[in-house]
Amino acid sequence: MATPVVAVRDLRRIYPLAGEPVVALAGIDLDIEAGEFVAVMGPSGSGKSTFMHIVGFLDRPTSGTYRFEGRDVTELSEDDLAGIRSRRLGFVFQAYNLLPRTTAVENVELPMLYAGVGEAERRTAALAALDEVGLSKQAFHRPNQLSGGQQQRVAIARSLVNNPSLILADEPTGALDTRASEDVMALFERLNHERGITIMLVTHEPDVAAHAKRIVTFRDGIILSDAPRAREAVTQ
Amino acid sequence: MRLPPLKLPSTLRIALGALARNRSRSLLTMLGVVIGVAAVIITVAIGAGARTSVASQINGLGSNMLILLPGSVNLGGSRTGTGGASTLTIADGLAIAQLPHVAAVSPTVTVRTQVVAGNNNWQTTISGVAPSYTFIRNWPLASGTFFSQHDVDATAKVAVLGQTVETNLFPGGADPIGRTILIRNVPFVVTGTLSAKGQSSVGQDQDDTILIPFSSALERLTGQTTLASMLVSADDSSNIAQVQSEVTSLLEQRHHIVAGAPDDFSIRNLQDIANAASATASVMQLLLAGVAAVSLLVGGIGIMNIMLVSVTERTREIGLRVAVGARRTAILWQFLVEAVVLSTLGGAAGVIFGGVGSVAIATLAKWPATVPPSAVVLAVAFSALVGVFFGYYPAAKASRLDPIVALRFE
Ligand SMILES: Nc1ncnc2c1ncn2[C@@H]1O[C@H](COP(=O)(O)OP(=O)(O)OP(=O)(O)O)[C@@H](O)[C@H]1O
Ligand SMILES: [Mg+2]
Repeated sequence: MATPVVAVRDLRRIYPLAGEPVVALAGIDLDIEAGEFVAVMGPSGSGKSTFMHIVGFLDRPTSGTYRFEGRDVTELSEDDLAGIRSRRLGFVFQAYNLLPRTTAVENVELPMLYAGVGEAERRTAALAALDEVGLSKQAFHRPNQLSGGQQQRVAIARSLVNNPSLILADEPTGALDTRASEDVMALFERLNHERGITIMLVTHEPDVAAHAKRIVTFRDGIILSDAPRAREAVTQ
Repeated sequence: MRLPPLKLPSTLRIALGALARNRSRSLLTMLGVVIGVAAVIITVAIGAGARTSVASQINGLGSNMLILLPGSVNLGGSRTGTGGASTLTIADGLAIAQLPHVAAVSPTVTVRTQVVAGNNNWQTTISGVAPSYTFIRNWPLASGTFFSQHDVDATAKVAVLGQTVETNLFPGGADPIGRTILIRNVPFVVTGTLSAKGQSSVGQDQDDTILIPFSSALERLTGQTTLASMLVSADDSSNIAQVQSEVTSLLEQRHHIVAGAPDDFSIRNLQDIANAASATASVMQLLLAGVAAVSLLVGGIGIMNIMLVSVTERTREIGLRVAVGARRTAILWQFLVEAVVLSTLGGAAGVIFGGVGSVAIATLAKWPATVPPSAVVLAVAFSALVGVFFGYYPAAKASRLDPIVALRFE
């Protein structure tokens, strides 16, 4: 079997607060293989975002191991992690997080700026990514000229422009209506299916999770269930 | 502080993009540095202009000139020794003229009196001088001729008029040459007129004068044999000091002054006066430069202030940049380059405004407008430095932000 994209063992994250420490993750074991589409569910405060941040190297675990594509993340420097992040990872947030007063295409180009991609290549790749999310016509619109669904699709274009192996999405449909949510989820499904990009997506909505191939449920910092098919999650 | 390697083209692109997105804030941030640098440039230009102006005024007094006065002069400049007031003689002047490196000597005998020409009269200063006077004072004629050694020998009754005297005695543009004027009822024939010299550095109208042969002045006006002062011109500015010391020892010898006793004459060196004046100008300029530097510093603090606000405002942007793969050093460089670009652009704008302001002030003050290129380079370089200095702290703060906190920031 090939190396998993994400392999965590006994992962813990404890916030050392003044009163009593907050245990956000209390021992997570999880493998995500290349090409998987995983939905992470669970009640508020169960540690989903914390887990996603650690998987995306934005945060470091208190203990446990994390291998990304076989490499032990705890042994890598911050600059190494930034390099991996710019080439192998894509982020999508609930709040889109586009740069204001900046055109869609320039927003999409941003990760390539830090990956050292040349100017002409940047523009070509950014326009291709926008085309892929169906926003060719809006390439030169600014965020305030786009609907929420369109903004989230720009953010998705930004996350996939560097050809990542893994896209991490934290409640990407949290701010969208049903219709726009469906569009965004269809897009994720297509990226996963056609381009083979591994996707890990945090959501509260069973309808959204139903697009995934596997559903992992968190509670109080541990994995409560890990079910391979969407239908089971819906009926849960 | 340790600065990581910089990828300038992409950093510059990122920084310029961020600045362009916030154009009005960028302009406001620059304002402090613009004002500071403009102040520096204007200060330097005023200083340079004032110095040139002082130099040319003092040059206008005469070339390589020493002024010899009878009686001693104490440090305050007031004369002492009443008997000493008549110690300089024609013979002293003739002896001084023989010294090496002395180009010319002219005695001066001054009389303040009423002068009459036809129906007009005018109170003015009559100066009895030698033919070399116009050379010593760098003072060309406007018309006619100056008197000669022959006129001096003959105590001729000839006169050369300054511009102010000419316009008052011969109003309406009448040609004074060949006409007769009465000085203390003695008729003098006007042979020439002097070109305009303007005010002296102490504000005296130098054109309000009539020049006549010193012999005529002594014999026909004062009836004395001693001189009011003597002008000595060295053959080169580098020889002024030498001439001064030689004149001193010559006169001490001629006046039988024993070593250690006070001299009965004094010598004023124009170079000393010029140096004193330019030293005053330098102190003034230093003061103004201090004020300018403070305003530049304030401009720098303004940049730091707004960069700090900017970092807070753009917390989410910073978090996002980290999330898409920016290294901390890239964030640091972005904000540092933003600050430096702002301060340097501000500096450049300040140079332009300062240049325009200097020309305006110079025009008003009738100075030559000089903005030394070194000041321009220095001002821009210094403002860039201000950007580095005051931009580093906000940039470091930005680069240390926790991306998770930054992404959650509202
Ligand atoms: N910076 C922090 N300091 C202290 N405690 C924190 C911090 N961040 C998160 N926590 C705590 O860690 C726990 C897990 O938080 P996390 O954000 O991962 O939850 P979540 O599952 O994403 O919740 P939601 O569905 O509401 O987004 C919570 O109890 C939270 O209060
Ligand atoms: Mg969350």
